[in-house]
Amino acid sequence: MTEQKERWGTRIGLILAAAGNAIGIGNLLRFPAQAGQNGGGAFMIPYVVSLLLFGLPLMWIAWTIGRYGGRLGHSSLPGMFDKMWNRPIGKYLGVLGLGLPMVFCLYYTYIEAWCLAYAYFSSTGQYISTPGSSVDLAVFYNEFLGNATSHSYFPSVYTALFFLIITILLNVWVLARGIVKGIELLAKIAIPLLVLFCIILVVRVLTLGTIEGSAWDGLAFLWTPDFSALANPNVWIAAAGQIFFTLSIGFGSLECYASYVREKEDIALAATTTAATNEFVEVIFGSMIAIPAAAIFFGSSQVQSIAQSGTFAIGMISMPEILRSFPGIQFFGTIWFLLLFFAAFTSSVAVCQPVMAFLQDEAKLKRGVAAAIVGLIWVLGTIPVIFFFKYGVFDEFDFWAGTIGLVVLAIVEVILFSWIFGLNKGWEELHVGALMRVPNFFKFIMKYVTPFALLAIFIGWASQARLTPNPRILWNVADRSNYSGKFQMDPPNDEVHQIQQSIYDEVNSANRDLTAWAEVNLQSDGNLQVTSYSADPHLEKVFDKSRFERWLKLQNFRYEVRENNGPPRMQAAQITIGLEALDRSPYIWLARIIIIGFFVVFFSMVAVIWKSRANGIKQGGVA
Amino acid sequence: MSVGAVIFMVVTMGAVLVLTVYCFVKMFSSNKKEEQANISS
Repeated sequence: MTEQKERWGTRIGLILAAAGNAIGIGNLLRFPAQAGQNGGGAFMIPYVVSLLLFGLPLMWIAWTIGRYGGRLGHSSLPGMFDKMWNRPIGKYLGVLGLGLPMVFCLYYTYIEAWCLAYAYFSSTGQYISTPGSSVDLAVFYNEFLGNATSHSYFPSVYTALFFLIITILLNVWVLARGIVKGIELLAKIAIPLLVLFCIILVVRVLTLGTIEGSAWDGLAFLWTPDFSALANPNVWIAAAGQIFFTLSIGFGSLECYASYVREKEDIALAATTTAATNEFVEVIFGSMIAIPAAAIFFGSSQVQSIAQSGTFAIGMISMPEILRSFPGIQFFGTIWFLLLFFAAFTSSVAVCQPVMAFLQDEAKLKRGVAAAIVGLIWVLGTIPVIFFFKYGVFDEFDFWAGTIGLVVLAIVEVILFSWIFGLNKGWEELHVGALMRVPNFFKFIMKYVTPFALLAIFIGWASQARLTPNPRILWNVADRSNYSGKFQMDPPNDEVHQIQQSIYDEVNSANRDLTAWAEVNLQSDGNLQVTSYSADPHLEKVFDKSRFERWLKLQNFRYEVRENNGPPRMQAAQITIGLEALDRSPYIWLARIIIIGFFVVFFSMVAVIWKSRANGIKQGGVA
Repeated sequence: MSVGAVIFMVVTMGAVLVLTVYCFVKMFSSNKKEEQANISS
């Protein structure tokens, strides 16, 4: 016997919630960055191919599995896979759908918290430069995350921790309110607001006119096809990866949401509408805000380096730089970061719901108790992400849960659906209550093409895995006595890489962090001259004072200031540069132990729950 | 911005827009059909 399950209140609520699951920071930041780095307009060809080869098929598969499981009383993957594959291993494979979303939430909520914090900083004008005091946004951002050797703007990471706790509490509050009063209501408020904010920002960007460049320069950068890029397999893997991230495939959250639909809901159409809404926000709004704005304020020559600076640098450094350059920073800056926050909020709630559902459906906990447990795990699990961010704990979680893990789960799911459950049976299940027919050739794609395409992506990504991480080298302007401006560093050359390798070796031999501090004269010709120097004895094997000076020169440091929007210029100044070479191994292994720990706990819970059910059946009870 | 890039952008964005509108129209029309079926039953 199955209990009366929660259901979505309305169809539009379901679509908005599922779209909110898919629409995230990746739509507005990762997409333009990936497109810009991978052939501009030509990127759209592998992107569309990936959408057809495994984006849409996996969406339909996930919705089908979800509704099927939901009908049988299960809203999380262990129960769903158990019903699809009547072997003990089925439910254990489903544990992927608990461990991965939980780990994902630990670091994704931190990004969400940055967005909330920056919305606050924008509303209070905290990062606006004033006469005689220029805020270096790169340093501001790194200090906020505890990723810098200096403390000019934030004395510690407690500001970030404060916003993180608020963010987690908001998530837990929504989860505790349930499907209709929590997740559906959030989606009905957040998604229309998100679209409204996007429209406001697109109109603002397109009406800014020409400063260093125009919005058209940014659009030209994104949409001018470079067809030679199509011969590069990395471009195809990047496009496939973007489809994965953007549709939120491989977390078990789509299946969970689909488990709350009615038995005759048209899931073929619902899945397609969700994907279409996500693509609408990504392709249209994602390409018309950040990159065109960057082209206007930095000129077309700088757009490529901004796109290559990465998702977070665009969102947290370049966009604030742009936003504070025109009137209305308090309004537009707050809108921009609230937009990112809402995009992330609807996604994090969705990704955590499978764990909530597992605790409610399988462990039979009340919703409030389940939310409290999830919240506690969430806060505790996020602590290493905050305090060891600079050691790469965040990146490690992202690599295993947000990159490798979701491909593994997608592979398991497509094989289970097409080969074990049976494609014909699955196809029938997909079309129960459907007014929209999925074209029949997708059967062939689901059975043969999607699994092989996924396998290729898995090999591509798994080849990046490193058992022993390299140390990380951080450098930062730790103090500036009479100069405020912006440090930039050109791409380092081969000799820098050789020196870095020497530093790595020293860190590995010392098994601890090594530091160097140098007072430096920034001369009017832009050269840096070391005037005093101190370093850890181990690091001195690599660097003496003269070599440190040479390293600085090889790094191609440039120190620039913008005054009244005039051209960059150099000034003589006394500054202090700090350099840290971090031994990351203990922290990376801590992250791995946390990931393994989650899986061990969920495996054990599944084993105990199913065993107690089996005992109940033997004794004539109700399972 | 070249003519080719403009065409590429307009066609891609147009296709996404049309697909999204089509899906929502179809979804709401099936909503109405369901409501009518519920009333008649």
